[in-house]
Amino acid sequence: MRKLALAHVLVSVAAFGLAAMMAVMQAMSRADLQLPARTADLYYLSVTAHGVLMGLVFTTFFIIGFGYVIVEKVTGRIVGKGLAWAGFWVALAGTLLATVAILSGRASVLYTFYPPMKAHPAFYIGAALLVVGSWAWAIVTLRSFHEWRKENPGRPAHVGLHGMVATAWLWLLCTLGVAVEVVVLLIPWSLGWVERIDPVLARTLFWYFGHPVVYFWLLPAYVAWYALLPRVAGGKLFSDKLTRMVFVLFLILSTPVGLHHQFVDPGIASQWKLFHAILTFGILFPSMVTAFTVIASLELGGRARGGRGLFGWIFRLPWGDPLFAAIALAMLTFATGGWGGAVNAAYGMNAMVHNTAWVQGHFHMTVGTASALTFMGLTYWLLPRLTGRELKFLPFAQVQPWLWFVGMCFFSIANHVTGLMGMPRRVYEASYGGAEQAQAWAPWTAVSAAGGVILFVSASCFGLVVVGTLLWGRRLSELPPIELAEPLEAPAEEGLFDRFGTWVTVAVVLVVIAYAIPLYQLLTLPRFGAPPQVPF
Amino acid sequence: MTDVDERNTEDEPHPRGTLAILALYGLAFLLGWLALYFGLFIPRGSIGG
Amino acid sequence: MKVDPYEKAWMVAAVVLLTVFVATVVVSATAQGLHPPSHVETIDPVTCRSDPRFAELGVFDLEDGSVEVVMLAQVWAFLPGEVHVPAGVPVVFRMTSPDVIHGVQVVGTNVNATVIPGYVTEVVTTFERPGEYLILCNEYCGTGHHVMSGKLIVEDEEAGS
Repeated sequence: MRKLALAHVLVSVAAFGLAAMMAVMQAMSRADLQLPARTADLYYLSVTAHGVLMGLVFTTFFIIGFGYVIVEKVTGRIVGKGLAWAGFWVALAGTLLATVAILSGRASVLYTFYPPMKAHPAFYIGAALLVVGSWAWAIVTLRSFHEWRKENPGRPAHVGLHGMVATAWLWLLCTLGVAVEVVVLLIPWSLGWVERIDPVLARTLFWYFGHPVVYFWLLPAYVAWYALLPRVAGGKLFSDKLTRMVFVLFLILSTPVGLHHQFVDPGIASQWKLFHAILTFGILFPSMVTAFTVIASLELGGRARGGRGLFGWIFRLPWGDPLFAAIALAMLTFATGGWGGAVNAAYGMNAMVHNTAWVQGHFHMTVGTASALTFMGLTYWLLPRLTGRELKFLPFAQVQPWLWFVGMCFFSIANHVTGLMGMPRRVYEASYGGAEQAQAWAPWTAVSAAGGVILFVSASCFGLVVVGTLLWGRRLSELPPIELAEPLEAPAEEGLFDRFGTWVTVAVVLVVIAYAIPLYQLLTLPRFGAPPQVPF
Repeated sequence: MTDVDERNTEDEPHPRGTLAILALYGLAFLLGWLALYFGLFIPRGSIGG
Repeated sequence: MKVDPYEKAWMVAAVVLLTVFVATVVVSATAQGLHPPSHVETIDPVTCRSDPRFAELGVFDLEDGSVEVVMLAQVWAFLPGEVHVPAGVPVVFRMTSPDVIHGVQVVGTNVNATVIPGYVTEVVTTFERPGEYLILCNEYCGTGHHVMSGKLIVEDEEAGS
């Protein structure tokens, strides 16, 4: 298992490194700093590479590696190691194929790849292989859980495993949309076998996947917050039952909300958008509960360490521990990101922020910090446990989360502000021929660029610690133990929220309710489709 | 001293610090959202179509 | 299920909070007609330039006193590139794309919609403040995406401009 998990983590770190280099150039480009060889073509190529490598490769490989560690810790083994390795190689081959297509300049379609803009077929085939490879992980996770349950009837699984099982089910449910989009619509069309494609149908299938994917990124981070962090903080998991409820709520609510990414699209009637908007507010609820349970678990830890008063316990928490600092700062950032999400979700108000810089500010706080910074902290925690080597350059690992936090504050706050001022996201430069309204953005793009540079320094610290540990880390005489948090009150037997069969059924029914009619209405329109275009 | 410390953890099992933090957070969440909705979005004009 | 009373209080507060948001959005939608642009109408993108609905681009006065703006969003320009509309009057934008997906946004207003080949986008709003506004594309549409822009001039009718 150690090799399997380590292989996934190392691919994720490599993707992160490449994507981070792309990112620092983009942040400076937006501020109109003249970099060598700066062109619009290269900018859009690098935005595509950054989005695909960060959003789809770094996250997916890391989650799989971390997932295997949790599954083996709780169940004692990985059922189907051959399948797990096969999945790794398929996903890696797909990643390389798509990356080559992007870097060669033939797939500058961004990570959302909306048709009728057409990339080289290798890009779509690579993306499909990455998803297919990840399915192997979901199947291995569910099989391992199933076997363990047979041997432990009626016994509730540790919340860490419970969360990973919810993640695996969520992933299988939501990737169906993007798999159909890529395999049925995009690949035949990009090969020229089919002449036209319906962009709204493709977008709807993409966002059927594209919103739950953010919970695929978030749930494994929550697993760390619930199942590891209380232990690191010296406390206990405050509420075991509510934790299970939270994971189940994410499983059932995260897919039937995808239309909120298409609020301002033509071709979809408003009442279905409103329905998805209401469910989107619903999915804020489990995150609100998470905030309480996790902070209360930390309060237990801080008080056990002698902290007193209303807030005194906060200062007794182990801020010098890289995993703790990373997750604590990730949570703090996510508190703001969650608020931005409530703004995005607000139906009519979405027109104020849709596709503005606000959105990139928003998701760099959520996936870009809540998930990514948690994963970086977890990498520090995992490396000694997977390689048997002590973490090298510990001070860099200790300071890195703080640099990330500060850099992200600069970057995200600036982008939220310019977004409200009307600056669009994903533009090479934002001067618009000196238009008066665009000139007001300039000071803020400089703040954003400064944030980008700080983030890059932070990413470099992370890379240095990982490479340093692999090459020069002192060999430990024995592997450090993998210790999960104990609940304050352990449940004696399986409860309502452990019945995954029931909850997966509920999830499927909700998806059918949310999507069947809008899709039917779309498919019965006189649709003409659009021929492929390559404007890059 | 130890008695007081023990009482802190034994007699007060409720996470009052957490509740205080989240009460402030919830208030900021609500006021910030309403400020954007009624202070910025609505004045920018009607939207439909 | 035994839940700590403090945590229960927070859960109730969270439900109240979310209910306030949902109620605000639903009341705006039903009472004031605040919806994101959601027009449902299709068109052949290959022949849209000669389609009677888009053969003539520009600003048209409608009988009910409102104004219709018929525009094309294409790589990498809005046609027409400059539009004059009166203040205080409902304006209906009707747009489509002959090539890739674009986004139309009028900076400083709530006009923000996706323009998708094969579909007709409609956005309805009323501009209250006269002045010059930047129209820009906010959906990536290729190498020239960042130069795709136009001008919207909102004119004060009473001042006679």
